[in-house]
Amino acid sequence: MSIKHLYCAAFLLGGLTAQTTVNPDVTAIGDLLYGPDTGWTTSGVELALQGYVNPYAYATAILHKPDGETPVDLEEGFLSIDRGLPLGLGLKLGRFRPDVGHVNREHEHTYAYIDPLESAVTFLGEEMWSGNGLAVNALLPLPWYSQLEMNVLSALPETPDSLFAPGGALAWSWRQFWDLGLYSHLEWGLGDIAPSGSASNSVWNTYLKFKWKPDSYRAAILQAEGFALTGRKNRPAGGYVWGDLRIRKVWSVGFVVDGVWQEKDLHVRAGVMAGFSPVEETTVFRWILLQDSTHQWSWKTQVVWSLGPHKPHQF
Amino acid sequence: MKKFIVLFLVNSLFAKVNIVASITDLADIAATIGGKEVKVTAIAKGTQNPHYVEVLPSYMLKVRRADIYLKVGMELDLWSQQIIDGSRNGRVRIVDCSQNIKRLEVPTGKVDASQGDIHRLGNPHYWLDPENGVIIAETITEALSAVDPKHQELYQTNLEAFRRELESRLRRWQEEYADLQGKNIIFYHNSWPYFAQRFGLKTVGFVEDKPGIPPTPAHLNDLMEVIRQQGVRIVAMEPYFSDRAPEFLREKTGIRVVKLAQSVGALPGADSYLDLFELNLKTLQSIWGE
Repeated sequence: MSIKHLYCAAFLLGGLTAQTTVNPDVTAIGDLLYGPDTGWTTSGVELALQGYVNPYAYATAILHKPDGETPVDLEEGFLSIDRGLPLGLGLKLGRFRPDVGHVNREHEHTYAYIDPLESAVTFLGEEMWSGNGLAVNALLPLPWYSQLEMNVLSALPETPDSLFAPGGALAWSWRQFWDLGLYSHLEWGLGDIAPSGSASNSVWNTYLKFKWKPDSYRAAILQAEGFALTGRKNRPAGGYVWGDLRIRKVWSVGFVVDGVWQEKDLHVRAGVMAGFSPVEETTVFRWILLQDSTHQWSWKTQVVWSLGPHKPHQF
Repeated sequence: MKKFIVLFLVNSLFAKVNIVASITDLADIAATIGGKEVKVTAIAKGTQNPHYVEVLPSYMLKVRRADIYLKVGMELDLWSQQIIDGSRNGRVRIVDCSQNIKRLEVPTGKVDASQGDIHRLGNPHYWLDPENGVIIAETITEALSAVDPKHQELYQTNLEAFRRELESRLRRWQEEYADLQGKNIIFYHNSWPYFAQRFGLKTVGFVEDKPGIPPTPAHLNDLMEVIRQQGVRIVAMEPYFSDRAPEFLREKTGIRVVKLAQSVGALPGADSYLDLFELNLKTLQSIWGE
């Protein structure tokens, strides 16, 4: 029995035996996709269970059942302690996605551009990066919000190009957050993921995110992130920038540019997207038109629904 | 070193109680009760919809050194827990201001999203009844006295002064605005049952088909029928909602669209908790008086 199965069993058992008057928040998220090349598909269903274990500790379990024969996968299952520890430290224990970069923290159903970006997949893997271990974080004594986090995890990102040999990982991240006014803010982060045995072959990451949300009718997000692998000839690098604008509460329009430079070859994709959320917070229709550097056009459409407190979008 | 210790002790002696509140109304009442002994900050501005507040890490910094956090409760400000947790403040006293409120519209059957954004614990807009203002003030006084027992007497004195002022104003409002009793009104969102009950308004419909769900054309047609049949003269809305649907109703039926302050700071003139009622009642009477 693998550690994933043990986690699944523990959380399901916990869920069944802990049915008191204070039940956890439960969210189920599903989708349906259509593209001319792929036909009708679905990413499956994600189930999120979250709640307080005691006044200081919070538990999160995110299970994913992909379409087809693939069994249920434990995306995340961890305990976080944010208050009550000395020196204002925070602690995370279990299986989780570390706060390295921004896209690694985002779940697929919130992507305005539908499919994972090539740059993120190249450096973080198809399912983004998660592992078993612990993270310790602290708020730095600065006038703005500034958090430093150290992670020790059992696994490195499983990238399609095998950027890393299997093994444990050490990672750190430093996130800053500034208010730019009543309704807008800027977030910047810097981080690094390295094999626990050697720091010479590590992925550096930096991101910048701007968000403006004056009310629930209008909002805008502009996000850019870059990755670079050190310690290898022809260092691969990549990055993306995307923007999304919400209009009149239900409509959104946006763009995305995504590129990877690897083996002296630059592969770029750019696209425009549109979204429609007829009933706020619960259902989103998306559409994207992409062209890559070989001038190939593609498009895809998706409907995402959410039953529970998790939103299916980033606004 | 001695200087540092003396400075620290002096600072501790004169330190104010640091209060953070989810909404401006709770902050205003806390400032009235605490007077010079408290420093109060509100997270949601009066112009913001308190159901949906974007959680910013800068809010967490505000709570980081707070002694008391005032929640609306009843699942209105669910976002506040994320702010409190992110603050890393393990000693902050979390006060649910709804704890002694007589709740309205508590669902008795099954509640799900097909009914819209229904609050399982009852309608959470309780601060819009001025009598509940006294209950909120009592809850805050209790919390302040526990955190800062040295000034307990002052907080109790301020509570009594607030109670007297509010009761006197309430008597005046109920006389001065007696003609609002029994008047038919349509609200945009179901934020006003406590206000309507206190001042005798009769709610005959909502612009939102179901709470939190934008109106459909069919629902607006039904509302036009209600307006015509029952002679409704006012559709009242919070300033943060889009006025497209109310304006459509105005064009079709001639109904008046008015903006009411649902919180302190929502509109010019709603500068304090008591002024909020003064402004709203005056606005409504000015239209029915025409």
